Amino acid sequence: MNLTDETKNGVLVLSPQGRIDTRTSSEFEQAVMAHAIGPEGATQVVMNFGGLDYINSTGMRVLLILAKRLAGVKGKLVLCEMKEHILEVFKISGFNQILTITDTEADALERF
Amino acid sequence: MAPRRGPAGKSKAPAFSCKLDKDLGELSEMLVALEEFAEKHGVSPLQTQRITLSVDELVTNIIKYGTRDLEHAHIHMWATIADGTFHIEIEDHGIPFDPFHEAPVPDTTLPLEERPIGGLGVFLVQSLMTTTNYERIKDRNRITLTRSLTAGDQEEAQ
Repeated sequence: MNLTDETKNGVLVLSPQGRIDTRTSSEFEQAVMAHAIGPEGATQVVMNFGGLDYINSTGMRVLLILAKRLAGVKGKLVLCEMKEHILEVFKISGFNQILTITDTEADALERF
Repeated sequence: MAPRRGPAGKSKAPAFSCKLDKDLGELSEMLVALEEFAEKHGVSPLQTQRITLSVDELVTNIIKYGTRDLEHAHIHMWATIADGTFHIEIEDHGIPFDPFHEAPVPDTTLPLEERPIGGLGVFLVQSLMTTTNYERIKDRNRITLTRSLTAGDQEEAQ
C-alpha cells in the first residue's frame, strides 16, 4: 500500500495504491489521518481509488472514521474512480448511501 | 461436494491448499496466491475478488479473535474448482464460533453519524458467497463456502 497526496483547487486528493488489507490498514489509517486530521489537516478531501486493487473491511473502517471526523468539522469526503469489485462491496455495505462516490476525479472535485 | 483434502488425490479438479499461523503477512501472501490460482483457472476478476475478500474477512477474524489466546493458530484452507463452483474450506482450532449465526448483523441503512465502526466482514461474506456453512468438528471450527461461477458475473448490489 502506498498513499500519494496533492492539493487541487484547495481540495486534498489522496490516492492509495495497491492493497489495503488487515496488515496494511493501520498504515493506511495513520497516513490518512496525518494528512486529513490534526491541527493543519485538510477538511475537504477526495480519495482517488483508481490505483487501488483491493480493500477489505478493515480498510473500509478507516474511511468511515475519516468521513465521520470530517463531517464533525463541516468537512467533506468524496470517493472516486473505484474499480467494479470495490464499488460492489461499498454498495452491499450501504456506503454508497452515506459517502459520496463519483466516477471520475474531475466529478469529485466539482462536489466542493 | 466438499473439496478434497490435502493432495488432490485422484481428482483432476484444480486444487489449492495452505496452512497459516497467526500472521497477517502470511495471510496477505496467501490471498495473492489464491487470486493467482483463481485467475489461472479462468475465474473472472470480479468473482476472484469476491472469493479473496471472503476468505480474507473470515481468516482475519480467526486470527484477531478466534485464536487470540492460542500460541499458534493452525489455520488450514483448501480450495477447489469443480462443476462451475468454487469451493472453499477453512479450519482452525480456536474457540467455537459460528460467524454466520453468532456475528451481529449490521444495519446498512443507518446514516453516517449513527453507523458503528466495524462489523461488516461476515455480512460481506454472506452477501458475496452463494452458500456459507459452519460446523464444529471435535476441537475444530470448519467453514465451508461456495461461489457459483456460472451465475452472478455482474454486480450483486443494486
